[in-house]
Amino acid sequence: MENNNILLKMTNISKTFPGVKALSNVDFTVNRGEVMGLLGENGAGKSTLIKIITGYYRRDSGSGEYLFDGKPVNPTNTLAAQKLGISTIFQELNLSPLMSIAENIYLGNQPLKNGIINWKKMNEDAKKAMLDLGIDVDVSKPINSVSTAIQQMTAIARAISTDAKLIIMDEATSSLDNNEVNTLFDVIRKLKAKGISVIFVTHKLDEVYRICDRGTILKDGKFVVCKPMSELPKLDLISYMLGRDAREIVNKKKVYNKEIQENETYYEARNIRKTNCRLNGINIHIKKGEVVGLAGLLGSGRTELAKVIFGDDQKYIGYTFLNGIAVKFRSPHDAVKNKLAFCSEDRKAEGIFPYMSVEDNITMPQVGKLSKFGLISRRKQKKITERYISKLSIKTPSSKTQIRDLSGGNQQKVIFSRWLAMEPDMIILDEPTRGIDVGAKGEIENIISSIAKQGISILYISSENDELVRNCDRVVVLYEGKNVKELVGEEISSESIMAAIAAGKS
Amino acid sequence: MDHIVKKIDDFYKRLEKSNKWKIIQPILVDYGATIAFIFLISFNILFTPNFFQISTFLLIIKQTTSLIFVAVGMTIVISMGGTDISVGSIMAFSGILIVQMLVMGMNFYVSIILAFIICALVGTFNGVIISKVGIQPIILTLVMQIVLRGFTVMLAKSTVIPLHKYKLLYRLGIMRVAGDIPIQVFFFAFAVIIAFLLIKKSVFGKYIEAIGSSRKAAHLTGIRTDFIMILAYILSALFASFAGLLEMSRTAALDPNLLGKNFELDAIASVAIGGTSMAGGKAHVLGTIMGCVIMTMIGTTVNMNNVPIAVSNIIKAGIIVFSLAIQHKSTD
Ligand SMILES: Nc1ncnc2c1ncn2[C@@H]1O[C@H](COP(=O)(O)OP(=O)(O)OP(=O)(O)O)[C@@H](O)[C@H]1O
Ligand SMILES: [Mg+2]
Repeated sequence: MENNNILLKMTNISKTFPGVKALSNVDFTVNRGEVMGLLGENGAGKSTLIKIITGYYRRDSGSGEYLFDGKPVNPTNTLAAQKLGISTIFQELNLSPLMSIAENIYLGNQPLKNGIINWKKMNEDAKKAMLDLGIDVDVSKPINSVSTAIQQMTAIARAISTDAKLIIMDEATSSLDNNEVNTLFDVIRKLKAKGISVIFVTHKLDEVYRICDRGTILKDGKFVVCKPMSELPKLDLISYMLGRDAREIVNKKKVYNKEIQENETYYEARNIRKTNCRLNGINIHIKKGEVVGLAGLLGSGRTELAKVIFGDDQKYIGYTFLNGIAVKFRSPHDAVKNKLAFCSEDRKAEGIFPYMSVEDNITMPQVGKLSKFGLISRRKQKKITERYISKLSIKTPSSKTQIRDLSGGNQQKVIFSRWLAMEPDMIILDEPTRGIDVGAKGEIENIISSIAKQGISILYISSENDELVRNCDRVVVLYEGKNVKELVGEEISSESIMAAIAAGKS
Repeated sequence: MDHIVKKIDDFYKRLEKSNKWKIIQPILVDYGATIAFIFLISFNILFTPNFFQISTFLLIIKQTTSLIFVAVGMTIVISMGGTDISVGSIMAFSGILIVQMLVMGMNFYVSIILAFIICALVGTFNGVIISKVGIQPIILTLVMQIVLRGFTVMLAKSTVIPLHKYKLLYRLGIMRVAGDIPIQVFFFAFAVIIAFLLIKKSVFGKYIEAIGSSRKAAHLTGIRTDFIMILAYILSALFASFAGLLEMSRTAALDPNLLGKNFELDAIASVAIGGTSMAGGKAHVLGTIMGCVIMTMIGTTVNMNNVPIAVSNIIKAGIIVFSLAIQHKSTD
């Protein structure tokens, strides 16, 4: 009560999971009408802190104090938190897949008429809410039939629709493209003007500077610092997050090797078309040991192309070649047998086996090879797993831990290890650094360049142009299912990629 | 003031309780079967006359053996995210096929093998339709349950067939080996070993759990998901057909309406109390086996204490609901 400007005040919060102390004595405050960045490495405890704020988890009994709007509160579930005025978009989206967009926005909060749901009003309101976010979409469509970005926006619309004083966004922008991020930021500014506070969690540091007023940094479950963003230059920020000097990471650059272009072609796809017109005659080739980037907007056909290459999508016409020999993969099984690997962008639905151990998650593509008479060798499984846990510094209590208990970024590292462990000849990476912290991003980028040196071909899909610039020997720009431009070596820059996309548009 | 202190105190008590529940609940899921097992044993030792004898023990194993086979198949199918409620009818169907071929004068072993092959084809059909066409497993296998029971009754001309005159078949039911141990005990051990190797140690078992966890992720990992799913339903049908053979030889009669009846329910219940996730992704072999023994013992206990048999069905249903309720909490 001493300071009326403070909306949320948490002091001395701890949280212990079996085998992990996720938070120890963390302090966290958010002022009214402020955008607070919550920053830290993978597994630093950001999501855990948020889940305590929203009542999904309880803090360790006896630890600390939680004040909201000047009063001590203890929401016991997310609905209770919502009633207090705390609305959340979780990192792992929690939407009901078969319900419509409108239903998902107003779930538990539907407009009623004589005790039954007023569908007409609900759909109209939903339409308007989505339009406010700059999305024109049929809100009666089931949520599982629309893109991840629109699902993300639905979750945001849902959070805004409840009369919230505090809106929490845990990596809400990770699957949005630049335009959508801009729209979202406009919305956040509007919320701010109304005095609503926002907690913003992200690993995209540029966004932090664009939208956050202050930043709180956590490391290994401990509070490090809380400062206005204007007093927190990028180098300091990263150093705080990693707990060490970050100069080498910030200043990293790709060293171009012209000779790569002389290598033999490993994979080629000619004139790939799909009947639904999402791919309209794509030509692409990848040399041995080359890192080829795929740039383009959402919906430009990057993931669709990846799925065609990996044999997951059969409904296409065109020719594909491996080492100059025509091949046709009838399923991912064929692709894996030919030493191709594919790291999907949708980690939750297409990547992890949630209830299985880290060990099983890493070794799944090769358990067949690790077996004798059909029986799996636990010893070999364990050896491989431990090698990758240390190689990628995966934070996990043990190799037997279920993968769903790992933080988002560490799950991603597990999936990445899965494909490295199988020693592929070519690996397709679809947004491989989504949700990964700067430090780990650096590590993964180093691994990518070192496996490329060993002759492994890499197809690198990313919406972050500077990532393509740092990693690729060549970038192919897609626009509406066609390749519109190819940039090689020194030609690659954020500006040239953006220009190529814009040129495709006109 | 006192009032408020009391309220806060109350709240913390509830909090502590709920934290305890979070610790207790996974233990219940994993060891629920063990706890129930120990409870049943103690109850019987205390209250059931003549329970604590080697013959009672052997009898329970003898009666459980056919269920074990069905439940092992069920564990595979359920942990893969499916279900197979045609198994009871497959037992009867396999039985009637064998008997029909014996009636035609065919060799005992040949008729068994042929019957198993036909049942495997039924499993193949289930698997293909479920994986390729995408029909809900519970619907398709319900249809199969009805159809196969119909075939069985038709082939048996609606009469109970006594099996005493088929020497080898009859002997299988009463055979004792290594002194005085019923042959079923060996089949029991065989089922346990096979289940353990197949589900917990083999590549196939790993693939099954992967598909149960996330079929799409499994597909993108290079697992031939359709093939594995078909294989799972074939195994389920094969285990059931073997159970049919055991069950009819043990009872020395084939009742086309009753052979294998309700076995799918007992099998699902055994799997559920055993701690296998009903949503797929996690198989508990030893739990299933203990579950089967519990299912039989409920019947035995009720029987030996002169309680009407219908009570045992009520208890079983209660057990299913209880174990599902516990599991449900664990998924969020
Ligand atoms: N349910 C759980 N059971 C056990 N450990 C958990 C659980 N949830 C989180 N953890 C552990 O707590 C730590 C903090 O995880 P948290 O998800 O809060 O990290 P984060 O900062 O959000 O990371 P990211 O940026 O990767 O999302 C991690 O070490 C994680 O493994
Ligand atoms: Mg997180």
